[in-house]
Amino acid sequence: MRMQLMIGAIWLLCATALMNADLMAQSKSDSLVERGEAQRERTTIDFLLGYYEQDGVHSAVTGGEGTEKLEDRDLKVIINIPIDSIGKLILDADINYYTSASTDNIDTNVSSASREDLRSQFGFAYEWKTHPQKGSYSLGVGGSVESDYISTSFSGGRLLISKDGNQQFSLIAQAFFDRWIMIFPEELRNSGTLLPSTDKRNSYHLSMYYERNLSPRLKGALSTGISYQEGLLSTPFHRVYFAGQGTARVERLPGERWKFPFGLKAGYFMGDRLVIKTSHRYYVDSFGLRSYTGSFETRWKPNTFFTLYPFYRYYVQKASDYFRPIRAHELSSLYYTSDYDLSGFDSHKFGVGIFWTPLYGLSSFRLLSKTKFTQVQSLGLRYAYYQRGDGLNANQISMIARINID
Amino acid sequence: MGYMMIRGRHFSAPRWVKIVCCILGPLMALSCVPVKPYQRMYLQDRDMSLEGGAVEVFETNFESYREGASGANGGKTGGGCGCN
Repeated sequence: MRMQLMIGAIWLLCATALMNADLMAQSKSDSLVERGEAQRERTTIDFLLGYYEQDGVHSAVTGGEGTEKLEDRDLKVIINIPIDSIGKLILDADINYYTSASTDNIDTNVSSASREDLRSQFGFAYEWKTHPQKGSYSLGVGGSVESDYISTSFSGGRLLISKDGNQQFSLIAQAFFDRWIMIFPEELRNSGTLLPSTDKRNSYHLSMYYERNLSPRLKGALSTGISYQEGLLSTPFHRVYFAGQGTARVERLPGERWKFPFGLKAGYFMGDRLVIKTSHRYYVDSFGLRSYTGSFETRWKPNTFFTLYPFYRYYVQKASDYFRPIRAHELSSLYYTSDYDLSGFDSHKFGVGIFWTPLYGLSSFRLLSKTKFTQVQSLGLRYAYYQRGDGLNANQISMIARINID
Repeated sequence: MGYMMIRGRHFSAPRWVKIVCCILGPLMALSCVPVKPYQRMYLQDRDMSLEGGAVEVFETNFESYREGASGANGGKTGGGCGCN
């Protein structure tokens, strides 16, 4: 029922955008005339579909040993609606439905309702330009709901473009306020063991991005940021088993976490058909976790309308100070987890994608308007295979379709 | 450089990060020839964008769940646990 409501809400959002396209276009052209500018933007709708499946043997729900089998289906819609020549609204909605063998083990009733869940998310942002070529501001608000938490978020951003157009700098601030519904493993609910004292998690992020054209064929970018989280940073239904003990405790982690990433990216256009891109990222946090990510991608363009791109990504991380495998923790430890997402491992991801964007679109049709055309502008498809050093592997397929409304 | 202390814990960036910061940062900021607007045909190509495309958003989310290094500019950064 909830899923049907969400799908209904997304379609209502799209229909509203389609019906408003006429009105928006009218007010936009009035505004353009007033401002003496000829620039014209379209309403665009991006439809994204995703399928993800994973399997592994280190579930944190069962203390670091147990199935991690999970399947997830995702639908996301992003709508850009120009208000006038300087401002636009960005609406996005996302629902994902998943089945998880690991969360099914929170209680002993296997294949119960905890086996499946639905996550829904929405966002609303307004972006406005300070000058056609000098940058923009943005403000946003959003929220998401799952069976065991509710989250609200706020964001603000500033984009600056240099006078000659060769450099750009962006600053984005985000705040997330999550509230959990505390679901503990069944056998620990009334056991008198140490349970978390708060059900709130607040996250604050500041990220910076600087990009520069280095030559007519080469561009580079630097990115960094700082992130602070406070509150319940552990997961209430994760079990931890201790050396020489038969019964488990609920995972326990510090109430604060700082994160510091630093990244470098570059792209080079080789000849007329090939683009080479690489990125490198280093990360350190106050849980003692450090990681390096390196990726490499080539984009082959046999013609202007079609792109084929194989990609590879390597990731390595050093374990958090609080991680130990099952039955390796001491009872005297203050903080403890057996979540293998925080363990030491390396991972490989590789795959291939295609992007097809014909000059006049894939098809045009009239929808909800007798005078305006709706055009399917482009299609993209991407497949990735992911393998983690501890045996977890995953497959992911994503698809995007962009629709323009004139 | 690259050293900080938070709540009694010491952090120091590895040597290669310091070298990258010291060499590539100033290089990018100072030593490049401005590219004229009529020379930007390749730079403005859709495939030259350095920021991840919308089609990568689901992969970025799952990487942030399955790896410990999410946060700030590392993809999904809040709202839910992804702890399955």
